[in-house]
Amino acid sequence: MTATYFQETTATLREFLPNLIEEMERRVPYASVVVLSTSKTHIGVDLNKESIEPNEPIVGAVITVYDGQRLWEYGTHDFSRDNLYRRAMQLVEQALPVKNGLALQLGEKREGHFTSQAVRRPEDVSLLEKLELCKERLAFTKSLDPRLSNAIVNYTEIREQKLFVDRNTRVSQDLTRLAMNSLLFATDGATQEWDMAFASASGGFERLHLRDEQLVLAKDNAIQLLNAERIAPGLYDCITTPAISGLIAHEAFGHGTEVDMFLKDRAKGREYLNRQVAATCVSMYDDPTVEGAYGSHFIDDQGHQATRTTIIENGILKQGIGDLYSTSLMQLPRTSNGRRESYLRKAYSRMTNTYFGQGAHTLDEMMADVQQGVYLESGESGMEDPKGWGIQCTVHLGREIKAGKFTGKIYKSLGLTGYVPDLLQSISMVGNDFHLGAGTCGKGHKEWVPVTDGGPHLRLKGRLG
Amino acid sequence: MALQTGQLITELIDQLKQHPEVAQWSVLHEQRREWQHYLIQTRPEATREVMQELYQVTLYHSHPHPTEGGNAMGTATITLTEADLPNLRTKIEEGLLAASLTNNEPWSLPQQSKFPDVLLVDEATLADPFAKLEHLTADLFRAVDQQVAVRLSAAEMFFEEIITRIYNQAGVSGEQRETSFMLEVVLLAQDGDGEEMEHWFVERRRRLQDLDIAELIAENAQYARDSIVAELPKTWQGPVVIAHGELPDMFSPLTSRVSGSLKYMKLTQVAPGEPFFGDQQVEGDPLDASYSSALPYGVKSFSFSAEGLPGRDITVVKDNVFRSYLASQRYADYLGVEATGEAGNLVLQPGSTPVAELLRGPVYYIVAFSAMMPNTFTGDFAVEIKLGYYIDEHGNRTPVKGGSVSGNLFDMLTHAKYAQEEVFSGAYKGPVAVRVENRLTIAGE
Repeated sequence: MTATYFQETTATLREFLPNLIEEMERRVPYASVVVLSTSKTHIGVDLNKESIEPNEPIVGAVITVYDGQRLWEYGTHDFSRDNLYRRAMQLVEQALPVKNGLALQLGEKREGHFTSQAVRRPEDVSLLEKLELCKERLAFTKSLDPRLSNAIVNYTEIREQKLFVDRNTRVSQDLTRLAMNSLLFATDGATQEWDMAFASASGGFERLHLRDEQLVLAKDNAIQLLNAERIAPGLYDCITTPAISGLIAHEAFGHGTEVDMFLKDRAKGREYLNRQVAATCVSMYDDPTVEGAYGSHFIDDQGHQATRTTIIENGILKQGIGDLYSTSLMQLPRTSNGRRESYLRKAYSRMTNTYFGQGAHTLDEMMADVQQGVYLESGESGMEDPKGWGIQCTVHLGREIKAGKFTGKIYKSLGLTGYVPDLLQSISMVGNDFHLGAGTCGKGHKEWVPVTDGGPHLRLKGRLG
Repeated sequence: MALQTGQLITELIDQLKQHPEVAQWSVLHEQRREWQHYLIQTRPEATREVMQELYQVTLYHSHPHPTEGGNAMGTATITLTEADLPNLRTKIEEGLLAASLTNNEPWSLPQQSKFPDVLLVDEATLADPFAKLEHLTADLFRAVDQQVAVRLSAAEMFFEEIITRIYNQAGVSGEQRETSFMLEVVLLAQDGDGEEMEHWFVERRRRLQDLDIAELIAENAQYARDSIVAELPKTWQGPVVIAHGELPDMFSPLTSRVSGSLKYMKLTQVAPGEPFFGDQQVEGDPLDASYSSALPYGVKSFSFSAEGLPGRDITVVKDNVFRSYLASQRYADYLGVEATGEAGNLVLQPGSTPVAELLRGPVYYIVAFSAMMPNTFTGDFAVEIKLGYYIDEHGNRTPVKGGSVSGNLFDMLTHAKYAQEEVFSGAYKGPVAVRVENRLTIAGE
């Protein structure tokens, strides 16, 4: 399936689908169709081998029918007009309208096509140039230290094309997400450790830079981790980098304010709207409009235009992030967060770019009066518990701080756990810096979508183990 | 665009055979159909049916190595759909261009061989998937209704049929049909003050009939009720028992440690015949670990792997000695070892100690972690306790949650005792619990 074929087909469907929707809505309260193409290119090089996977598309259409209570959907790789018409008619036969059903809150009338700004569109850059970029970064990495046993440089390009049509909306999007990372492995002959440098962007190829200083830091970290210790369990003064701040934002009140979790009574946040949940210096946002960020979009998978959502403002929980179905049933404001892993899965309330707002403090100010603490530098993974307001973040590397200075001692694999309100209330300083890092977010154990999270440095108290 | 299955594959294979620059090729043709049912409390949220059909074509290009002399090999896997039939030639050329850019040590394709018959299909459910899911929903509601102080928050059910056909230049040709079922249930328990706490679980099986809904709900409802009264554990460096439900994720670094590809990349040091734990003294039961793709209705069972190697049992560690890499044909060629294919279901040898003995207090017994995600390369982990119990010397149990358990998989296995009771659950067959002596740290109060 070529991108050109997709464009030609969706151009035809753009005219055909409004008529199909109109015909379906003679029988049911609501219908929509989304056509989604996700095409991934991956390049990987290490010291022993090279690979290019040039095109891994997942392409299909989802016909959605709402009967007043339940969503009925048919997802298919065959989005020819004949097939879509036949399947749509079968679906409306199945979905008998429910009496006194709840209406979905549709957006305002809107049409348009959206694409990101790019000096060099990634699809116009040759595979050879991308491969050479990876090889160059690998060669640089290899030259850094003989204790590096291997390094892997990965380049990933995900082109997302979509067309969404319902009675009010006829919108499409063409967006490319880019990520590059280098995994560095160090060994002392007996043990092996690793660290990673990461860069990401959306839009133009010129936005992606895996910098020398990132690779040098990852090399230093991997080598230092060879002699790292596990931390003695306890409550510590912590300073989090934007990467760990982002992990906390994501797990604490990102998942915790997904409106479909409210609907299932799975999130305590529902009871705390407009109440204090964090220190007054804390604000938090979900924003798919961040220019050039990996988790950005113009429209979500339910055709809703991207806008910034203020989740926490000065410590007060203001708003959740939601999809069409859950915000309609909860009668909460709809946001641009209805996202699908692919046409094979349903839309859920999902994050985009989730971050803490900036404060006024420099890192030096935050460090100055830490008598005994830990600088939490890079994360591995996290897990949410919106009902119990628990949090789990696995931190890859921490640095000991004593009397306001780094001692040089390194800790590995730290678990940051705790009660979310305690953790967020303990934030005493918010940095004046800002960074977003890319990742992949699951809903529980599945439904993976590209996101970023981040913010500034934070100073807080954390339970480490 | 409607096309008979077979039209594209015939045309594709003809073109691959005739193309002078295609050194080797393989094709994986996959047809997927899935039925999904979503519940919020006691009402349906969504009902979905999805279909997918695609062809993954791996092209091998042989060319002189630009710097090291001799021949190099490059590959590229292109994904085709029926819509690509008019453009097959162009797609193959694009794939070959990508394959020609990379330079790797050459390797061979799996040869033609007999694939074992492995039981993988739930014919009863396939007869009418949505009706079976509705029936299961009714069973689920009944089971939850029988529980005190527990209600259903949400559930998701996915039943899937996959038909896979494989072909390669060396004559491999096979077809495999499989079904899989995933059930996710979220339960809410309520205490006397109206406070609620959730407990969720996920089960995967090949067949619906292999799940006992009433039993699962009863067990997990109790966990939900215990979660409400659970306390933060004490900080602890002593014996910890881990229930079998967490072992497949906990053992995930084992597949990396025994991986042929990671051996080739110098990211694992194990060697056949050598002690698996190196110089470390093993004071617990010996480790006997294998991967089986032949277990009837095992979630990770298969008749053939994605590259066309027959499914089989692979012993990776026997009596603490490393035996065999998990190696694809490529890495088997590179390392000069037997090609085994990918990991199937994890099989651990039970021990000789009854589980009741393993749970003799004082001990922490962990039934669920929030998300067990150990480091793939090192085996390190630090994970929150979703639910566990502190069992004192008199056998009294106190529910605990929060805090974290940290350690290293390979270090803890040197001081592990395996229960003699065995379970087969989804993708795991082995002891119902493992006790680790003084190798794990609990960070709590």
